[in-house]
Amino acid sequence: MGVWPKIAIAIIVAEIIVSLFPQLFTKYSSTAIDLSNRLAPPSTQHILGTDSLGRDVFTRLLYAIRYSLAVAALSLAIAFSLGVVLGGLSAIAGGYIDSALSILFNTIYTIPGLFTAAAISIVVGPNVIGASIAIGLSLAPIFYRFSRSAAKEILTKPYIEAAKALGASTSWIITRYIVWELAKPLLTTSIYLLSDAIAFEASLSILGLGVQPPTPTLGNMIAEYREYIFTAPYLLLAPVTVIAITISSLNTLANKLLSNPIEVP
Amino acid sequence: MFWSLIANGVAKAFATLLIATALIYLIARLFPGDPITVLYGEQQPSEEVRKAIESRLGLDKPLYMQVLIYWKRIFTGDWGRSIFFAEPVTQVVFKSLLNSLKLSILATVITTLVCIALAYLSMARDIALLPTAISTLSSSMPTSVWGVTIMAVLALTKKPVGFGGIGLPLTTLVVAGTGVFYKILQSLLEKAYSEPFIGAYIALGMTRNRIFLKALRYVLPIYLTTVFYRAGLIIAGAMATEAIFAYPGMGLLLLQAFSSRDYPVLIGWAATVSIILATLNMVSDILHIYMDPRLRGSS
Repeated sequence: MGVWPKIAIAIIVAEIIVSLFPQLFTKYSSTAIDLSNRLAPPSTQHILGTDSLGRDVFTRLLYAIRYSLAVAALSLAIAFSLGVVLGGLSAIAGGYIDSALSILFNTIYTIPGLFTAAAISIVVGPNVIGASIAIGLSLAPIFYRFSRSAAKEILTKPYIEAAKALGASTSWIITRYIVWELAKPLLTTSIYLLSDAIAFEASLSILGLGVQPPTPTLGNMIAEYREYIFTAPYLLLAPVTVIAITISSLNTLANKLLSNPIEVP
Repeated sequence: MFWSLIANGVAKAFATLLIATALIYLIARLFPGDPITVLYGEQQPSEEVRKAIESRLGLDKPLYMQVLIYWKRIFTGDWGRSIFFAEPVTQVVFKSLLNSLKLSILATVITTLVCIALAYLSMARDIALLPTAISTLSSSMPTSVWGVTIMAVLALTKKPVGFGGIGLPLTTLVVAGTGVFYKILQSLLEKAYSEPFIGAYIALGMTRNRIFLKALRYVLPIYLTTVFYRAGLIIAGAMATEAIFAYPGMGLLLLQAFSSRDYPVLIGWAATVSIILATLNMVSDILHIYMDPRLRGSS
């Protein structure tokens, strides 16, 4: 393994630790307002300064990583469970089930993600759950198409036919062959989509359709600090850098997996 | 055989569109506040007026009838009037759509030209570091974050931020798109360079520039198809960027309609984007079948 994938893994592990225990790395609260200390520049007390309500930017950044990762993970889980399960079902069942599911996922793909997000933020509320549902629904068709075509391809392989000829049941073929052969490409796709989900969250928040303050996310920090580009432009640096580093790390990792096959038992 | 597949694709796209628009209508009915309250605001109409409007809009009919009426209105071009703009929805949406298309197409063309220049540097001039650095940097941030970053850079250098113009959203889309497009072009070119015909050209003593042109001509159709597959993403990215720079396109229209709860525009907007996405989806499926004859038998 080269040095870049190692750095990428280190960054992602660090972010996961931060998002599990953000309170270990700071003495401030992410939502405590201190109006006497608004927009303070970086100092030894507040290493990234304070925002327009006097909240510690570093603390908000730690919690933003937590909530952004939570949205990304939750939306990936929604997309994965919808797309992969139904994609596999489509490939194995074929016939009418396949046609019906294809039309269903084409429909989901056709309804614009921004409209879904707007609708969900009205109906469910602009919170972590709402944003995750919107992003998860937008990503689900990608998983569906991918696992459907991959499973179809596996089903035409000679060794599956051999197994069928030997009397293997459908459930045996699914659990012993399809799941194992899909595992690695699905892992790669998941990592790519995780970075897409983080990007999507940022876009939604910048448009004001994502998770609403005071809950910090990387996206709504950018949206908030955008107002102060003339008075405190350094504020933007922290969330933008974290997004860039996170997405680059995930992409590096996925590229590495793509070029370097892992042996599947 | 091929034509029946196309007919099948068109039928599927149409079915998708019908379901999608029905879902959009039903989602819109979930929004708090019924259309009449939204239409009248604080002054509530009398019971009789309300009844009259309800029957005119078809709101007194069962839900499935409302969906049927909505379908009929979509296809006859009667999309209602915008509450906010006091103009027919079709007109409002059409104006924004033209602006968005202009932005998306210009951005795609310019990004492709930039990527060809970068690929030329790496394939024909052996300068690999610069193109790789540019593409890595470009793909490290989503389009919207690039938009904010470019705005911050302009603010720091005390340059005016031209809101409403096409310049800044275009720059943002090109900067953010270069990474992905370059990776696609580069991997296609690398594949092309390993083909025997390039070896034959090298043996013939052709200059590297001409070989690059030959390889480019060979990969361009595949590149364009790949770009076409991503058209949905390009449009979505463009919409987020438009909204940041207040460019009067579909993205900004969605936000305005959303914040003023302009439901007719919101529904019209979603229907329009659905029609575009369904068409793109259908065309790219057909292109896929056209380019890969093996798929013609299986589905």
